[in-house]
Amino acid sequence: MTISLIKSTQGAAAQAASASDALLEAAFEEHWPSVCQTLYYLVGDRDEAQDLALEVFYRLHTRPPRDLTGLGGWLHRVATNVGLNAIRARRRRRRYEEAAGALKLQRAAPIDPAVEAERREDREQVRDVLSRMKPRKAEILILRHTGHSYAEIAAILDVAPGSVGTMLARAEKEFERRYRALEERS
Amino acid sequence: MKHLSEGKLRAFYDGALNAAEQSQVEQHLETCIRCAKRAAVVQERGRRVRTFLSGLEPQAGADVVAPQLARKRFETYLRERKEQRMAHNPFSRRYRPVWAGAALALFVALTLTVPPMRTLAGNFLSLFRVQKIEFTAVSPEAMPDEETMEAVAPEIERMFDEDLTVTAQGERETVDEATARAQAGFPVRLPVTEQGQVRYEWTPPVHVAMQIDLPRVRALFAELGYQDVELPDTLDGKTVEADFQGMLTAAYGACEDERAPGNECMAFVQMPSPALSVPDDLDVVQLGQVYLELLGTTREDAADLSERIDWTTTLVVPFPGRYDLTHETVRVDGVEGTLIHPTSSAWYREYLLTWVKDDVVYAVTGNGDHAKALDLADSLE
Repeated sequence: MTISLIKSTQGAAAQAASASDALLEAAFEEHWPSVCQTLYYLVGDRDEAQDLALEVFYRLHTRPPRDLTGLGGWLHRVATNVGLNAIRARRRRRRYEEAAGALKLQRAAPIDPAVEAERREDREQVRDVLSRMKPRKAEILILRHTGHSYAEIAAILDVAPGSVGTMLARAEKEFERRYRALEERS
Repeated sequence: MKHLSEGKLRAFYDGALNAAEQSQVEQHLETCIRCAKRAAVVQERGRRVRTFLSGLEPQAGADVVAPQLARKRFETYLRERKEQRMAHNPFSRRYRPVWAGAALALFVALTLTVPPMRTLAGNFLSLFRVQKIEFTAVSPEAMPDEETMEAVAPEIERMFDEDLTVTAQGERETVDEATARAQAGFPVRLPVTEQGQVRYEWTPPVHVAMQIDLPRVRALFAELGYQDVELPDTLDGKTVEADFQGMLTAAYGACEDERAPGNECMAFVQMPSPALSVPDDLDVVQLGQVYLELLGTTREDAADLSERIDWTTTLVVPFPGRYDLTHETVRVDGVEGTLIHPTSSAWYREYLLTWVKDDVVYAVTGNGDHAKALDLADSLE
């Protein structure tokens, strides 16, 4: 999957306290689909992804970045954070439900075919791990795996291109460590 | 060529190096067994992580609504959200636990700070003063989860109720400049330049004492997941004491309704560095690490940081780590200080400037142009 978010929106003045209508219009036109896709990738639900995408554009509306040349990257960062927060919230909710025994009952009587259920569980586990990671590490993994090049990642995260490899290697390490920890627990 | 780092290898497998580097790595891998092994690990790990994450890719046919329609929905969303807007201010209710943490830090961080400035005769107590304030960005999301905090909150409350004694010598009151100077037990410094309308508030000295109930503290740490923190038996029943010698606040500008558009408020606070006495058989570095972890630092980073910080003289204060909030070291009042302020992309305008000079802690907080805080600091008598 490739999501291009690096295209720039040039020339708009960003001194205003809130994003101008023209900027918002252009941002929706150019970035709405890819922001939705990033969120869909993270939360795995189309409707939830679109609701969260509105929140991303809301943030653009209330406090736009001063420098609009990297607007796509900025939106992607915000989308990633919003998405990770949503997974974290979901995890907390699930814990409460589990505590109440609700989920255990559901699990005892699976309706779905075993394979599909297992795949869904795997995906949830991956999301779980991402949401437990340090936000910046999760962010870089998501950027990389949604098709961004090193140069693009460096621009979005505002780091030296030469350090992207190191950051990715560390992020992968943490992902795996946390994944294992989660496996052992369950 | 020196050995290859995991980062370099990661970039190599991602084809992100230039041609020269790419072939350098290739050549090195042919001759170096150690790096070849490491390379295999990096490659395998990358492959596994990729497999996991590829499971998240959207299934075919997952269309989203057209941008035009989304734009219309957005108008509705905007109306709904208008009310909630203030909740995003880092100084707002949502972040209150963090700022409360900052206040508590004054007490807790000090209790973690040991080295003997002066050993009291025949006693186990040490005394020290804050010489430096270090800020650490914390992520509210990374703090211990709600469940854990909910579980320990009653216990912490009981501890504060039963083991902590706070003795204040009076209430906070509005005073005039002459009274402020007379009441303060330290040389008051005020800006010599005209700052406009001003109001002075004096907070009288406070003495805080906490008796260590070791079983309770141990239980608390265990509940939080720190079974390995060593607390010597000798600590039981000993007392941690903090003396705050009073605080003077000068408020400038429109502070009553600072949120009204165009209104700016600036508060200048000065307070002698609190004196703290703690038992000297605490493992400061280890407790410092626990403290940082509670604030949301990862275990590894906390260990690093805790080793690096000189807990004897440094007060570690947390602030919410956000992409639109920056903190920098600035030269102020002849010493090094810290300025925390929003980036240009942020929509809120609150800032904090703080420094320590001659055993007095100074802070300027306000909303608006943070350059004014620096001006005020540089115009002190």
